[in-house]
Amino acid sequence: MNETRSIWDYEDIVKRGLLEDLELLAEHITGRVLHINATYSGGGVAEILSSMIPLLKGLGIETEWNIIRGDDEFFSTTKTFHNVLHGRVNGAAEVLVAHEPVSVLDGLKSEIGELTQRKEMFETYLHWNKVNSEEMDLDSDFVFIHDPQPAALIDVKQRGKWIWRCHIDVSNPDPLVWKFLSESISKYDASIFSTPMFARPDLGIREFLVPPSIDPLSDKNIELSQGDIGRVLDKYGICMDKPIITQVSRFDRLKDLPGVIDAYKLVKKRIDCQLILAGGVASDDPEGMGVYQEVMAKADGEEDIHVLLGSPPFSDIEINAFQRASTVIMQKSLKEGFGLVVSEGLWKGKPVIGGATGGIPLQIVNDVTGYLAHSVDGAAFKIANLLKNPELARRLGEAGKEHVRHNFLITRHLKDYLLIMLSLENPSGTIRL
Amino acid sequence: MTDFTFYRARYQFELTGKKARDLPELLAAIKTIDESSIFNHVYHALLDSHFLPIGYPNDFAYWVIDALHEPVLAERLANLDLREFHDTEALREEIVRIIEDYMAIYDVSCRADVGQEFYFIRCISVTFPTRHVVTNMNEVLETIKEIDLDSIFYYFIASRLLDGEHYQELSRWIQRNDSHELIEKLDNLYPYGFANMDALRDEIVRIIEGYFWENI
Repeated sequence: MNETRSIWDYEDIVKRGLLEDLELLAEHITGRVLHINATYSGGGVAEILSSMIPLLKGLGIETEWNIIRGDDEFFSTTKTFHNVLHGRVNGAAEVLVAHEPVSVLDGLKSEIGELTQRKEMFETYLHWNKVNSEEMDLDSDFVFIHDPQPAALIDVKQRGKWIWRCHIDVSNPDPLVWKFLSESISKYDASIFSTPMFARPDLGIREFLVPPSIDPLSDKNIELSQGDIGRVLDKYGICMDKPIITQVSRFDRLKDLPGVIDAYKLVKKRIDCQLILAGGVASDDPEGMGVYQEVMAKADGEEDIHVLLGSPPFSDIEINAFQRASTVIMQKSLKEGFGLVVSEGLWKGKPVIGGATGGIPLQIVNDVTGYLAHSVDGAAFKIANLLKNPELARRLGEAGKEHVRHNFLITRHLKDYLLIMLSLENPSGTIRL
Repeated sequence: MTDFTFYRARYQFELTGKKARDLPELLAAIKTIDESSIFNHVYHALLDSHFLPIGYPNDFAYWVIDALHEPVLAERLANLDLREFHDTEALREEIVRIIEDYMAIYDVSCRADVGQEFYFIRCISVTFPTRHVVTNMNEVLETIKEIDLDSIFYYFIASRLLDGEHYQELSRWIQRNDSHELIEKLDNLYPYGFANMDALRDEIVRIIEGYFWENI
């Protein structure tokens, strides 16, 4: 990726002082910056880096972005790691192998089988990290390693400051997998977490706090004309003649799509409205199609419930249009990572109702930038309240947009990364350049 | 007159690994936590004032009402008179005194729900020269009118507590080049009594302009 972008493209969006500071801070960064993750496209990390890397280059910082390669077994392993690192819902952990021993002997056999499987996974993981470390030029002044997949590249560190950027919740991980990974992670100079709740106190290295961000100039967030929005809705047979409630999310049980439908049905008894549920099925999620079919069954053919399965995935412009066409946006998750889709909705000036989980409460300040809902009834009451009070919806939407402008845009994210690089070069807590 | 370069500070947040679920844990951590954490939790709301409820202008007060539902203590912590503190140690002692006094009278068995813990976060302050360089008081005035609010925060609030040797460097420059009277007014300015940083900037501009009128 050789593209560069000027921070001054954001001049009409954020304060001039912030953009000036990005230039001033960048002048003090010397050397090469390298970012490594698992993919150039798909998922939040790739989205952020797609915006971040051209901006770093535009600031005159020599920056490269590489991805690691591996075979199916490696990516299956890292997907399993991902699931068991933040796979706990209501205290129950997913396990690598389901086992219900019927006797002591069977139990022991099962545990031995599980340990053997884990050992093979760990070997696969280390093998591909070693392969990548031999192929990549890691000689950089600052190396940002994103998420667990490439974390063991640190084992060949020669020089520079290495930072492990964790985008997932590792506060309640599978102990064995965490013990394995933390042997590598603890060798880093610092780590970065999205919220304090996602972090671990046992790493023994500096832990910075950097929430993720959205890019207001990306296709997913850029302003659209009414014509553009109308064309997308026409394509999916949706008429904008009544208020639209929308949830954009994967067909995943943790997004509580049945709960959204129940809330909509309660509201529909009192106020004429329609519901859009737009999302895809992750290729590595065997449950996804099942969830989609359950949602279709629950929608029961009602003409004002639009269940849209993006296959191939919806374009970013289409998602943007669904959100901009909405009167109320939902993210009624039962368990969530940071839930950056909330910021996407808020940035469009829409009131957002979200579940009080993961990073959602950081984005939705209850009754200020949106509403937190703890139940179907609570969600229904708040949807109805917003549909009946356009002025309230406008006020929450405006406050939400300002909240995102201050806290969740790519320009703030960029500033944080520059400050972290400077902090690592100057260990004092008060740095004067 | 010699040139004066305006500086600005930006802050990066770092986890301390300490958290509290109840008042005894909060108190114990406040007693030992580093100064920049105290500064962060008391002062950062001045920059993020749009979204914290006006009644609870610092993180300690807000957590005490939001997670522990202790309105009396929250109001006492909210009412900290920040004018009295020229360093964070004095501020820490006052917060400790307020909490200990409260704990001596009231039952404090309430614990925050899981996920509602108070996380202690320190801030790393990175201070750097801006492109605003002035040579006279007119330029100082014009710069203060247009400069980013973080510079106002730095000169009138943060440098006093975190950046001791640079505290009053703007005042000292003005003093070398202009009026003691103006310095006195700026130094006596109570920066915490304003709804937001824009209002503080307006007051600084008003003081300097008033001085100009009196000295034409």
